[in-house]
Amino acid sequence: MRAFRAIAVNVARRLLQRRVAIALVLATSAHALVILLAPAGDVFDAYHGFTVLLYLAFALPIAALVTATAAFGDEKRESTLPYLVVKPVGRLTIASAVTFATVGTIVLVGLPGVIASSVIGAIRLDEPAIGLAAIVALLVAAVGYAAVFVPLGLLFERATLAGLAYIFVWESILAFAATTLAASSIWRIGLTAYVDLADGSLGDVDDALAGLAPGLGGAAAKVAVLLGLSVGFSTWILKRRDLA
Amino acid sequence: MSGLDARFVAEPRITIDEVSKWFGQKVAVSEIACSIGPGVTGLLGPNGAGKTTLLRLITGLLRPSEGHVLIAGVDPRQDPKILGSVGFVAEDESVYGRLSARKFVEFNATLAGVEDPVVAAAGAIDIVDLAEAADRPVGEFSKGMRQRAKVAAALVHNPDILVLDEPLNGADPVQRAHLIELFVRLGSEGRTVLVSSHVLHEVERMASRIIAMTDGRLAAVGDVRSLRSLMTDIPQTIRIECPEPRRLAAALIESPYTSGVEIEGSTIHAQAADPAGLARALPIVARQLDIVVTLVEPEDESLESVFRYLIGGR
Amino acid sequence: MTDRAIIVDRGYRPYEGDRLGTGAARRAIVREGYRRVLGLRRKARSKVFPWALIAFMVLLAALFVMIQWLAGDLTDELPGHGEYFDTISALPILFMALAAPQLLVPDRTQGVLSVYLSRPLRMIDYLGAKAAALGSLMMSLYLVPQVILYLGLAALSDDGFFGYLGANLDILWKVPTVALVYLALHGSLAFAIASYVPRIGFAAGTYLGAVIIANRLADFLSGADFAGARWFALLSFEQHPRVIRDWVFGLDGRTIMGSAGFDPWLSLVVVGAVTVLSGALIWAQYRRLP
Repeated sequence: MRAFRAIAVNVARRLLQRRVAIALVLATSAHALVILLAPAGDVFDAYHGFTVLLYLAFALPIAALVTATAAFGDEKRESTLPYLVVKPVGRLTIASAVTFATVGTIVLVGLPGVIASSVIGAIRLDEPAIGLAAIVALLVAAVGYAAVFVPLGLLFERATLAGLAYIFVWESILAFAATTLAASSIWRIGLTAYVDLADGSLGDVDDALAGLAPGLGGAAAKVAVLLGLSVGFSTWILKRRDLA
Repeated sequence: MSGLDARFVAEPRITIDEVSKWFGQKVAVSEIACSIGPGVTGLLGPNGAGKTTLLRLITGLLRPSEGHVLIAGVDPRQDPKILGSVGFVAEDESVYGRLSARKFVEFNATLAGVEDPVVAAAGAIDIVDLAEAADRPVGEFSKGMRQRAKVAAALVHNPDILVLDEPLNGADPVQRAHLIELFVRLGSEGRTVLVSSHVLHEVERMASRIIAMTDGRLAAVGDVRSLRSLMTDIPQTIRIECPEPRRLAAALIESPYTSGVEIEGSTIHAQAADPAGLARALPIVARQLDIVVTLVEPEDESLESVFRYLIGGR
Repeated sequence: MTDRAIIVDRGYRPYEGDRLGTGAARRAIVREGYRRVLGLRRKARSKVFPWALIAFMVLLAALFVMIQWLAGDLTDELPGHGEYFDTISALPILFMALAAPQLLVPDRTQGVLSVYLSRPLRMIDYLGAKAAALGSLMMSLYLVPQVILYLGLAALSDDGFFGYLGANLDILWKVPTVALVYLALHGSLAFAIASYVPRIGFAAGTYLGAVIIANRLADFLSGADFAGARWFALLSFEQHPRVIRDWVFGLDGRTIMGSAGFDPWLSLVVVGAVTVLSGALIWAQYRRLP
């Protein structure tokens, strides 16, 4: 447990280095500005539209990609992986700690934007709980993206590029084309949780589901399974592959 | 594995059993079989010999393509718990630059399962003489200080086995002497210290046993003197000092034990085809000529000459 | 023995051949830039992405020509030279997102900048050569498919090959002009970001994220109902080259700038300003590097 905590804290501290963290927080807070400046009659559409189509669809995935691929990726690049693995610490513990820290970091980076937009939305729409759907979607997406991108950083040198291809080609284009493929899109999994919790008719947001049924339970189950598979895969890589 | 073979020790702590490692088409390490026990063992070889690859195989960072590595009879890749008795200093300068030296060593202590990481880290930092800079980020350190921080991180959990890849890199002469003294002391305490280095005279000071590698293969194993005596195709050079070197040299060249002589002032550099025979013959010849010999010593029993011999043709 | 120094000839021979000067050094940097971006003399996997993008862009143009040949006169249905910029719009941007950081980031992070500058090169020569590498690659990427389209349509034209060429001579300046505008805006932005961000993937993601987020913000905010809201349309960086393209080709596309009521020349000003500002930022960063 002590090793788990020490690794998680070390990873989180490294991922939250000041300049990078500030840039990511700014990127994931841009949509709050839109909601603040939206005309009175458009606030509802602006809130939901931009939270989904800007924050969940692009800003958060890119922030998660940069963070999650660096979790193991930076250790490999900077040759500090021996400090973790030439130790009497189980590979499962290392993989779990790194993934857990990554989820936490993604949430920390994504939270200021969600809080800002939720506060603004709550005030302008007089709906105190409007931010709940976004916070839950953030948690779901954070777990999902960490599950996909952390092993990527351990496997590939150019993990960020592979992740960009996933976001811009798979999620934005291909997964929109078919329901079966849409189910493999992390941001749409987060979106199913969002739509399940958000009140009101959401127009374009509903269309973005690409045929997936809204449901928090389903979304949570999917990302939980993904997380388990991801930690298992990372553990396997640490056990079986060369680490230097 | 034969217990009589010089590659193997009676009480092995590290066993390398016919280990090979290749990366695609490149064979980095080929059929290495030896064991390493308590004391300081030097791992030598030119650049590209496979030393770092071997050390990474020992510490479990790399998986052998063939063969096994065992630490105290356990495969570290199967059971990482055994790595609690291993301290590793990697060759590159990698550290967590934003952590202070103290936090860096404490982090390593925590992962190594040390009971009180704070106290242990303070002790390790004192050992490497980094106490004054302990609270500065390691990223701001000079190369030598960074190296000392890495050594502290390797020592903090009091390991039985130390695997050190070029541990003196970047250290100034005083720090080098201090670290050499430390490694020798650790070796004399019964720990297994495996040191890889290019600096032959320092390895000579530290190590009682040498493993020499070249082109990924084992070139030689043993202590320096024994290795030198095995190099029978190269005459040993004996340095003899006396007041009448020309007379003595003329007599020595007539003996079958000397293949050549060179005179430099009052010194004779005698090429001994049979060092033991020359050692027996020299006092007899000197007494016959009534010449007082003031110094007799082997000139080329150094690690450098052994090393040059082993890798000379490559 | 006296204390004297002697120089021993150890067989060192200085280089006696031609010294090619700064121009050759610059050309070497450009060639190295091509190799890096296109994965030449590198492992197969570094060729996959750039060549897949190139193949897609070129084959698409060839496909349109083939469709025209097989299915008769579809000239009005298929994208023309102006519309082709939209058809492939995401691909050059993706290519640039990766190419710009690949050209700049490794030299900084691997500490070889000082090796370059120990040669007869100034920093401005180095940056100029890198820009030339990106510029020539991107212009080829924009122009080659257009040439295929142009020659293909000319070959299939009812007016004959030279008849078509004669009737469409304006294409010969319009396409390169618009391509240059796309390059100026996106290339300078991508380079500026790559000058500051220390990782290739991160720089690519930052550039793409910035373009997309700015576009969406501009789209929404420029239509908002507060004083000066329409000026947010200037943030639609991705669309300014499109505005100029519509202006040059006489097309009537829907753009954020158009919806905000701005004339096309303002987009030209924005492109120029972004290019100059990006250049200043790049110079500011590289001037202070050791």
